[in-house]
Amino acid sequence: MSDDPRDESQIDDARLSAWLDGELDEDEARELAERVETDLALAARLRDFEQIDEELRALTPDPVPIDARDRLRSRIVSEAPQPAEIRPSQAAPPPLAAPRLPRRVRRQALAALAAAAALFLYLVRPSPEPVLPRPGGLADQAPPGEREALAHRETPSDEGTSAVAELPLERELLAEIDGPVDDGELADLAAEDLPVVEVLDWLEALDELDPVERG
Amino acid sequence: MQGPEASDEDARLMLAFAAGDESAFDSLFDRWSARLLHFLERMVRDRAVAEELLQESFLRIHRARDRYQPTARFSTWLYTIASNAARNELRRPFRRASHESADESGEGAGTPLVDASPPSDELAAARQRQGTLEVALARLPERQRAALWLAAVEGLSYAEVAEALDVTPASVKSLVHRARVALADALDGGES
Repeated sequence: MSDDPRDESQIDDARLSAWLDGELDEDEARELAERVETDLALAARLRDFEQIDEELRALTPDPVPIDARDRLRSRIVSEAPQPAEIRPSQAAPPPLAAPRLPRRVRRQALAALAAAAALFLYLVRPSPEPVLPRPGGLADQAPPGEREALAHRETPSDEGTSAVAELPLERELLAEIDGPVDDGELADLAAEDLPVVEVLDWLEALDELDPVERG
Repeated sequence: MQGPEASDEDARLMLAFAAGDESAFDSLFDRWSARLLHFLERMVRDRAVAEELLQESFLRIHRARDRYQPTARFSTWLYTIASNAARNELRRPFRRASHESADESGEGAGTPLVDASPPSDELAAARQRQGTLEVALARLPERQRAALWLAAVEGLSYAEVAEALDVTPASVKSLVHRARVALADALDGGES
C-alpha cells in the first residue's frame, strides 16, 4: 500500500461510499466503522455522503401525467397485429382476388401475377429465358429455372389459389420479409442493448429485399 | 427502496401478465411509472423526452412478456431497459446539442434554481442548496449519474446496477464514488 496520504484518503473515500451502499464485506465494514468512530475527518466525510444521498432521495419528482397509462394502452393496441394479416405459412392460400399477405408483398404478388398471365397469353411456345415486360419484379432476380416457371404457370384463378406462394423464390423472400420481423425479435434486440439506430438499420436492410416498396 | 416483498410482488405480476392478465401489466405500470419517470428525467434532463422514454420502456416490457424469466429482480430488468433507452436517446446526434448546453449552463435541469421570494433565510438556503445539487447532478457524466441514482436513490445493489448499465460491479463502485465526490465538491463550493 502506498505511503502517500492522498492515496490513503482516496481509498478511504471510496470505501466510505461503498460502505454507505452496503457493499463492503464484513471485515472491511467493521474496520471502517471503528476508524470512523475515532477519525473526525472520516466521520465528516461520511456525513457529507449520507446527506447527499438523503437530498437526492428528497428531490420531488414531477407527477406522472394522468393519461400516461391510457396513451400506453393506445400504443399497445395500435401495435397489435391486425387479424387480416395472415402469413402464408399459417393459412390456406387465399383466392387470387383477395390475397391475404402483407400489403407490400400483396402488390408485388399481384404485379407478378398480372405479368405472368399476360405473358402466358402472349407466348405459347416454351422459352428457356422468356422476356418479361414487367417492372422490377421477383422474376428479374430469379434464376433461369424459376423464370421459366414464372413465365409458364397457368392462370391460377380456376383453382382459386395464389400461384405466388407456390413459387420457391417468392416463398423464400416472403419468409425473409415476414419471418424475423415480429415484436418478439424487436424486443430481443432491445434487450440486447442494440442502439435504436442499429435496429433501424437492420430493418432497412430487410426492406432492401423489396426495392419496389422503398419510396 | 427495494425489498423482497416488492420484488416478489413484481415477479408475480409479471408472470401473471405473461400468462395473459393485462391488468397485471397495468399494476406494474402504476407501481413503477413514477420512479422510472423520475430516473429518466434525471438521465435525459428533458421532461417531455423522459415521458416518451417511459412509454417506450413499458412497451418493451409488454413486447417481451413471453420471454420473461424471474431470474433477476424485475426492477433490475426494468432499469436495464430504461437505461438503454436513455443512453440511446442521449446519443442521438440531433439531440446532443440540447443536452450539451444543459451540461455547460446547468439549464434544462428541469427545476428552478432559486425561489425569487423565499419566506425565510433558512428556506432560501435550503432551496439554493437543492438547486446547486440539481445542477451538479445534471452535469455529472451520464454513467456516474445513472450509477449514483440507481444505487443511492433506487437502492439497487452494485451487481444490479452493473447489470442495468452493462458494466462491472467494480466500475459501479468507482462511478458511484466519483459521483458523490463531485456532488460533495459542488455543494462545498456553493456554500463556501
